[in-house]
Amino acid sequence: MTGREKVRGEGIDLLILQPTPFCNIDCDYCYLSSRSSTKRLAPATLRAALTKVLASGLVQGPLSIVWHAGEPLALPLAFYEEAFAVIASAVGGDQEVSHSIQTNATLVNDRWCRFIRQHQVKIGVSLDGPAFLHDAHRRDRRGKGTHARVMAGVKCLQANDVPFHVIAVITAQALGHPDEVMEFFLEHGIRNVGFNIEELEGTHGESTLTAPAHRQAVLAFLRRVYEYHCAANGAIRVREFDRAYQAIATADVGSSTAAKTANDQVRPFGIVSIDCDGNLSTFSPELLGARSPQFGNFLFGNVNQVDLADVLLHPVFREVANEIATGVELCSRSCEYFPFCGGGAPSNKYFENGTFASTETMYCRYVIKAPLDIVLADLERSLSLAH
Amino acid sequence: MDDPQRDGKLPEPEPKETPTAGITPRIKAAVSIAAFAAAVVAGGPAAATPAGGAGSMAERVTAVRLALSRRLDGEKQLWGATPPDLPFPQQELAQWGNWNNWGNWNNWRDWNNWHDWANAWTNWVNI
Repeated sequence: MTGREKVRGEGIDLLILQPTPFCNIDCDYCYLSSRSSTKRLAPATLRAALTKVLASGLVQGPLSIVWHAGEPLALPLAFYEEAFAVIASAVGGDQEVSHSIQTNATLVNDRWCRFIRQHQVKIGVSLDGPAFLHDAHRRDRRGKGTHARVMAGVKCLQANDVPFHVIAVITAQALGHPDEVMEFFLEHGIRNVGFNIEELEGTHGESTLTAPAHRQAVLAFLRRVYEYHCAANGAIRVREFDRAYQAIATADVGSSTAAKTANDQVRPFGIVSIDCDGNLSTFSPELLGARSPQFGNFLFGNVNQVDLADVLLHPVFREVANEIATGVELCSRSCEYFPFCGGGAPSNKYFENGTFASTETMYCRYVIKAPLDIVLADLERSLSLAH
Repeated sequence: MDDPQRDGKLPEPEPKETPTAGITPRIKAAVSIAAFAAAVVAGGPAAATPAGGAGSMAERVTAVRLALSRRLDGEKQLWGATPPDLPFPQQELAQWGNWNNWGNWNNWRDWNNWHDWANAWTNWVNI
């Protein structure tokens, strides 16, 4: 622990930086709209971003930077060597900074691994399980599956002793194959897995999971994954169930305010997202680069021109913030899972329900409620509590 | 006059130019943003806990915590300073929680590794 421990709910928990919108592959469920653009974040804009974020006074502990919203490794290593130096000089010696990269891993090589190890960058790999599931959606621009290239990257990470976790997207195709997915991860020495559901977000206006008929199938998938999670005795960890344990252990079940502040997606500046041009957004990271008839592009200012405090005066920001707050209030009044969640994911509410001022989404059902139900029932069973 | 806390709307932000003796612009900005954020998360009247009665999530979680605490207290007395490997999932919950005076029990086995790893996950909310 450091002397400047972060207090969740009272500042910037996460800074998301878009090094480039470009992605070298073309997944059919991607929500990003500009992934053919080869723009990149300029050093001067990066310096302005860090300067403005720190000048806000909202960074109250170690600053977590996630490089995302495009394929970060599509840029040359030299970009990050310069960027990390710019950040180090902008923040000064007293500010602890950690870096994370979410990558499709197709471009990982020994040089990247050395850099990742040298800077202790946390790595998340996007991998949907075995090839027949992964390649159904994660393809390149010629329509070819990327699984073999991803696994080459995974092997390279492992050979270089680079720790990483995997984020897998659950699509309708995966629902009948939880055993194949979990066996695949176990067989390949992948120990930490998070499951995202295929969501309606940004340019991805349809999901294979929206049909009501899939509800029971998703729950069955998650129950089977939980059986693996338990039976593996620590050999593989599943993020959604660990979060559920954490929520059951620590949620303040008597306080609605505590839950709201713990959800950094509903809190202004809990997450700050900055695109490669210096445009700033906040709330859900998926809002960066998204478009809406009502709210435009969800950008609330540019770090080359404004301070974070100026964002408060931006009329669209105020409208979005008000609507998100209304949605959180609706959740607090209607959902008994609220103490464990704090108001859901605003981007999912907007793109799925058409308004931030709404409640349940697929994210709620499958990422919050189902894991809590599964873990709580298992705890009750093992503690011989009747329910 | 409307009460912003009551109708759920945001209060007007403090004008950026307001002179405040002894407060640097950086601190002023932080105070302004923090106050704004607090107003947003506290917006509207305090909500009653939905479905807080018998069989509710809150009641079930409270019952689990109590039962787990009793069981762990009993096992602590039985095993002394060297706790056994509890079967899943109790072991998990014991490692997560800081509640209920478990003291050094939170340090057993790979607590620190689990904790670091858990913190890493928090950066990947819905990404």
